[in-house]
Amino acid sequence: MIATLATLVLGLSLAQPEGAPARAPETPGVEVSAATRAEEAGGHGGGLSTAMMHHVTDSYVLEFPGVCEGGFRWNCELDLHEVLGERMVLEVGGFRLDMTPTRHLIMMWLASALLLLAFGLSTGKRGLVPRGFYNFLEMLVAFVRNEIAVKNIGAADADRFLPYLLTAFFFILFVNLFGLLPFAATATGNLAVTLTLAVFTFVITQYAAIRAMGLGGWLAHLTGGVHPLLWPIMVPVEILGLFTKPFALTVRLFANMIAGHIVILSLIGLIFALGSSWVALGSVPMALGIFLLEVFVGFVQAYIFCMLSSLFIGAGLAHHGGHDDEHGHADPGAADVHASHVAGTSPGHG
Amino acid sequence: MAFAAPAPVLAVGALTDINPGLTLWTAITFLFLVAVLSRFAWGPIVKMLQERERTIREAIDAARRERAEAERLLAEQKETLARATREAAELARRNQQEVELLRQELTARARKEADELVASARGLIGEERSRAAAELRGMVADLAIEAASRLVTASLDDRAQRKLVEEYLQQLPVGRA
Repeated sequence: MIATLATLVLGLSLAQPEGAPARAPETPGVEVSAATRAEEAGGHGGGLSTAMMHHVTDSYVLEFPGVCEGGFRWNCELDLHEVLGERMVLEVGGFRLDMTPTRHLIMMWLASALLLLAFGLSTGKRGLVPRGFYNFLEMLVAFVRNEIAVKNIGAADADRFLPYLLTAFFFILFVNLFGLLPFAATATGNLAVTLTLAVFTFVITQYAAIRAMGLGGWLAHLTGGVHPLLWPIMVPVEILGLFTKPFALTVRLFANMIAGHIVILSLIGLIFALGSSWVALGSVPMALGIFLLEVFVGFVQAYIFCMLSSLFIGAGLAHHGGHDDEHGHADPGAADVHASHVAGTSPGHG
Repeated sequence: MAFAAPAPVLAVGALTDINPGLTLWTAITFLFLVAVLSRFAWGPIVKMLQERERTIREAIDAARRERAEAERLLAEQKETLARATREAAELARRNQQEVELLRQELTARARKEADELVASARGLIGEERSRAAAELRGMVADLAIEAASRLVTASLDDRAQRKLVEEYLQQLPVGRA
């Protein structure tokens, strides 16, 4: 829904391609097509869409309010490539791996530090009768454990996967919410980050499935339990199926986090696109509304990521002892045994 | 260190680019978080959750047990009370019966005694009467003899004799045999 809204507002704001009249003197030639390479890391020149893309894409340039160029400025910039040079660039067998921290990585680290701080400070209040902020954190932990892990994986195996699920939930939650702060950026709105998280889920899912079914059972599962003549069709489909799940996880989190920010930026951008400060009367409250929605989405996406991860893990575990019930082609007798695990197996929703 | 460099700086890339360095850093950060939080947060918190679940379950069980016990006691007491009421009623009923019985018995005895008294009185009266009759008969005989003896001793003429007898007879009380 947000995505539709985003494209709508984006299209609206792009209807004035050359940006706000106020920005007219600034390098109109650099106006790149809406496809958006945020070539200009410095400054917001070069049109509204470029400015918006600059806000949501990653870069090696940190922007923050501070003292620079002889005075206080809201947009001091620090290029980590210039600071660190080539020190963080690794050469691995002829492959150049640039480990220089980016803006999103710094944001991720700050959010992680907050996460550690939140749990570090509140654990002192731990007790049989919980109090204060710890109570809230513990409520979330209990929610992940009882509503996500136990319901999808089963009470017997849930606690084994809890450290991963809990860390994923709180990591995504804190990064999502941290990205809503002024001057911060959303690291979960970066494909590299969401892909890594999805790969973790993928590895754990396959590990759980292989542990539960054995390597033979896992390979047999890839054939889908059909006649060997159909294997040439079935095996590629099943292998594709293996990778669509993490792919969906990757794109869902990324797109949801990006979309909200783009909607907010578009609404604010309308002020400049239409060139009248009166637009702010409408667009700022709307942007505030979307912002509040984003807070909610931050929770929801953390929940959905965890829920789907545990669903995949639970489905992998449920395979052992027979054919899987997930694809609906198993023999009917075994199908209902693990029906509880697959309440919403389709990874396409959300 | 260059602030606000006007020249275009190399950006990481467009929205959909995947930065391998960032991927690796994310993995490192995430694994670090998993390690630290498992050790210091998830373990203790989950243990605490289980502990609390256990405590609450035990408290509920204990409450259920105590409630059952209380209900049992209440039922017992109710039963005892009912039994006591029943027994009291029974006792009262039996008492009444006994009292009634006693009353009837007493009445009967009193009536019997009264009857006996009447009967004995009647006997006594009869006895007295017959004795009085006998006494009277004896007295009459004595009087007759005395009168005869007077007649004999006086040896009077026929007229005088008769007169004497009649006088005598008139002295006797009337209506007696």
